[in-house]
Amino acid sequence: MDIQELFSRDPLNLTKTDISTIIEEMRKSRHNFNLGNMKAGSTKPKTEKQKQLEEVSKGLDIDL
Amino acid sequence: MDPNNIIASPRDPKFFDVTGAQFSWNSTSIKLAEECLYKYNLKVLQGWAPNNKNVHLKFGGWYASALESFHHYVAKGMDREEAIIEVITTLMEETWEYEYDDNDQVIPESGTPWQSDHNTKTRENLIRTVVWYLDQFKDDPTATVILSDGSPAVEHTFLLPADDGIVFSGHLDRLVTYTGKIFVQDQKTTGSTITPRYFEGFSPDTQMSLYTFAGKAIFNEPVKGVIIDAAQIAVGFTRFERGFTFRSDDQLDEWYDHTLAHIGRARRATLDNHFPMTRTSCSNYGGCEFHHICSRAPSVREQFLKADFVKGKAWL
Repeated sequence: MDIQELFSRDPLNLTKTDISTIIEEMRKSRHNFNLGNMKAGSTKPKTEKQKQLEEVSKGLDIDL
Repeated sequence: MDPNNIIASPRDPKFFDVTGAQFSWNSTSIKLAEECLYKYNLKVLQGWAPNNKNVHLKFGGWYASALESFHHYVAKGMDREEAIIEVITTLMEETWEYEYDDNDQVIPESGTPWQSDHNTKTRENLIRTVVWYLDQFKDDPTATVILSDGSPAVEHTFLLPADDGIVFSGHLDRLVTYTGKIFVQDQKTTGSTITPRYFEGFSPDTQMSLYTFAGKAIFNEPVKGVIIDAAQIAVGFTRFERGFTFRSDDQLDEWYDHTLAHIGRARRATLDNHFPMTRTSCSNYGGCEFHHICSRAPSVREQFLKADFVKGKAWL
């Protein structure tokens, strides 16, 4: 999930579920970093190419 | 706001006596007095500060404050996961720059996220760093010290009388037990790889000595030193290392004696209005922020200060 949209929202409008989503995404990135992906925690907005790769990977059951 | 970096008007009576000399000292001002009296004068007495608040101070302040709050919530019995949600919610709000109405109330739907001018110390990386830290130290062997009145020893701002009318001030993040010994815990962030040499840099170090000294005096506990949890903030990750810096009683006696000597020197300089430069400090730690000012002729320095700094706030 691209959490940039949540970061760009007024935090007073974020729900507890939104905050949990941010935390979960951060945890996933830490998991991937621990697996050796040194860019896993990058919080820069994803490029179109990265988004496409993510879509493809969903069907392959692997983490990018 | 990190109380170790209190902003006050220059010559605020809470920090300066009637002669204009500083009597309330925290580690930041002690370090400045140790480093260079010319810099001490510019920064503390005259109140010159960078145009924009230092991103490192903002990021570090939010980070330490979030972890303090987390430990406070958990020590008070809040569920761990709930505490994480609580601190992240607060951080998201604190790092949003709202507009305020005439009554100083937040205008809903206003404002924008805090925009950092640093490539790694950003809002998103701040949230990442807090989540990663709390997960990495999920089974942390350190435990918050519970004081005799039942309160957890976290978020403790102190004013500690010393000799000669001097008061030491500061803020302790947390007092913890680790392998049966008591330590102050402090959080640091850095952009560099954390090596053993990084931790060696904290001995000697005034901040860590003051924390140990204050921890012993305030809590009346045999504090052994400071546990430093350092976070390396990179573009793609945050990596943590834990280090220790110990202080024996005779080391603390020496630190106290030397610190009062440095303070005495700064107070005499204030009374004499004479602040010699310590030129060997100019290039330390990547270079003094006032280096390009001091390299100019004294007659034109004020003009250059006005261009790059604002006057009126003192970092104490």
